Amino acid sequence: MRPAYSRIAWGLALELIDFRIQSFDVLPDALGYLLIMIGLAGVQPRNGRFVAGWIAACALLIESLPRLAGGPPIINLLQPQPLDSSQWLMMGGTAIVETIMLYGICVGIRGQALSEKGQAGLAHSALRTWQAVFGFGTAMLIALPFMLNADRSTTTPWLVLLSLGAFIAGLSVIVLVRKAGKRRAADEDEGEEGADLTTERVTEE
Amino acid sequence: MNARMKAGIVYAVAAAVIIASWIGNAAVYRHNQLPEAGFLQHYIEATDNGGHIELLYLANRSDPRRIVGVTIEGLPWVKFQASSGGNEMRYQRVEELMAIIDPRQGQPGEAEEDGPLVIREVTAHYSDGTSERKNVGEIRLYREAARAESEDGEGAAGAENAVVSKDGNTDRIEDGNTGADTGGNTGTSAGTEAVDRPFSFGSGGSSSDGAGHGTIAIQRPITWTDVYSAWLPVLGDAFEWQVSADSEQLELPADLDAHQSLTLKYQFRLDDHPAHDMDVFQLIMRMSFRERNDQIWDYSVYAAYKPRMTEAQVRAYVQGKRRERA
Repeated sequence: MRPAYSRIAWGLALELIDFRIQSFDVLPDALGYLLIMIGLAGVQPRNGRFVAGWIAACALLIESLPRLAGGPPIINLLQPQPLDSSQWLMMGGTAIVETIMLYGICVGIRGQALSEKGQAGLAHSALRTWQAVFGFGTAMLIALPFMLNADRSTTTPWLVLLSLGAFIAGLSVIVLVRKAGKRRAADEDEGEEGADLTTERVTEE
Repeated sequence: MNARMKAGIVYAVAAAVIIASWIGNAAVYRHNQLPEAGFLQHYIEATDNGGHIELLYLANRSDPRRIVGVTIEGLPWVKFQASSGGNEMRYQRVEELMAIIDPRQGQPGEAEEDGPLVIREVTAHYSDGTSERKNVGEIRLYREAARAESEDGEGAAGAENAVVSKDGNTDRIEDGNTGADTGGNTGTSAGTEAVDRPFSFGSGGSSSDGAGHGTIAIQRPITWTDVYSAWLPVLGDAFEWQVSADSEQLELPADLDAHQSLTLKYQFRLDDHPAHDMDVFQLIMRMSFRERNDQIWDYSVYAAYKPRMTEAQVRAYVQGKRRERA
C-alpha cells in the first residue's frame, strides 16, 4: 500500500480508538491527526477535497494538543457532567470539523477514482462510506444538544447506538483508505509488471 | 435536478435541522435555569436548648459551586453541614443542610421575655472557598436555654420528650433530649419547687403525607387555654389541626380531667397551595394549660414539612424566580 494512504489509515485508527491506561492516552488523538495530515499532504494527485480534509485535520490537531499536554480529557457522553456553553460549542464544532475531515478523505478518494478508468467500484464504495459517515455524523449532531434537556435514560440508548454507528462508519473509512492505497500501488506497478496484472489485482479487490 | 444539487439540498436540510436542534435545546435549557442559587423560603421555629434546623438550598445542576456549610452571625455554635450529596432533578439540584442545636451551648443570659431571635440571613460557605450572605426566609429561635437553666435539669423541657420529624419518606420517633414534643413550665414557681407536671408524654409521630400527632396523658385537672405557632397565620387553611380528648374534639378553652388523654393532630395541605408548596415549614405548636392554682404549663408538638419537589413544582418555582428577576 502506498505510504500516504497507509499513514491516513493509521492516523484514523489512532483517532478512532481511545486506549487509556488510567488517564494516560496510549494512542493520542494528536498523533492520529498528524499522521492524517502527513498522509493527505502526500496523496497524489491532490484535489480540493483532500486539501479541505488536511485543513480540518490541522484544526483537530490544534484542538487535541491540550489533551496531549495533560489538559481536560475528552468528554464522555455516557457519563455526562455539567458542561458550560463554550465546552458545548467546542464539542459541536469538533464533531463538524471531524465530519469535514472524513468528507475530504472519502470524497477526495471518490474524485480520484472517478477520474481513473476501471475504478467505478472504489468510487461507489467511497460514496457509500461518506453517506454513512455523514448520516451518523448528522444524527449525532442533532442528538447531542438533547442531552441538555432530555432524561439521561432516554438519551443514553440513542447515544450508544449513534456512537456505535459512527465507530463502524469510521472503520469503513479505514477500509476505504486501504482499498484506495492498494489501488494506487497497483497503478504504480503497472509500468513494471504490465497492465494485465494490474487489471487482475483491481478485480481481486 | 443533478446529483450535485441533490447533495446541496441534503446538506442544507441537515445543517438547518442541526442548527434548529442546538438553538431549540439551548433556549429550553436557558428557560429552565434558576437565575441565582439560593435557599428556599423557610418558616422555622426552633429552641436554643436542643432540636434541629434543616435548610434546603436549590442550585442549577450546571453550577460547579457546591454549598458545604452555613453559619449564622452571632450564633457560632449553630453550625450547618451538608447532610447528603444532594438530590438531582432535571435542571436543578437540592442540597440539604442540617444543624443540631446543642442545648449546652445555649446562651442562658438571654431570657425568653426578650422574644425569639429572628434570623433572616445566613452565611453560605461554598466548595470554592467563597462565602455569601443569603436570604433564608425566617428562623425564629426561641430562647429557652435560660428557662432550662433556671429549672436546673429538672427535666421540664426534656425528661420525657421525643423528636417527631418528617424527612419526606419515612416516619421516625426518637427518644431523646433534643426538644421536640416537650412539656414545660412557664410559671414563676418553676425554680423553687420540683417539676411535677399535670400531664405526661404519651406518643407522637408523623407521616410522609404531612400528617402527625402528639398525645399526652392528663394526670391532674387542667384547662387548655391556647395553642400558638408563629406560622399558623402564614399557613392559613394549608395547615389543618385539631385537639381532641378521648376522641372528642375540643374547642378553646377546654377543661380536662385526670386520666383523659389529649391529642393534637395536624395535617399539612400545601400541595394545593402553589404559593407555599416550595416552602419549608417547621412549626412548634405550643399548647398552653392552666392549672387550678393558676400555674401555667405548656406542651409542644413539632410539625415539619419539606416540599416534595416534583419536576412540575420546581419548574414553576424557577419560572417564578425568573419572572422576579426580569
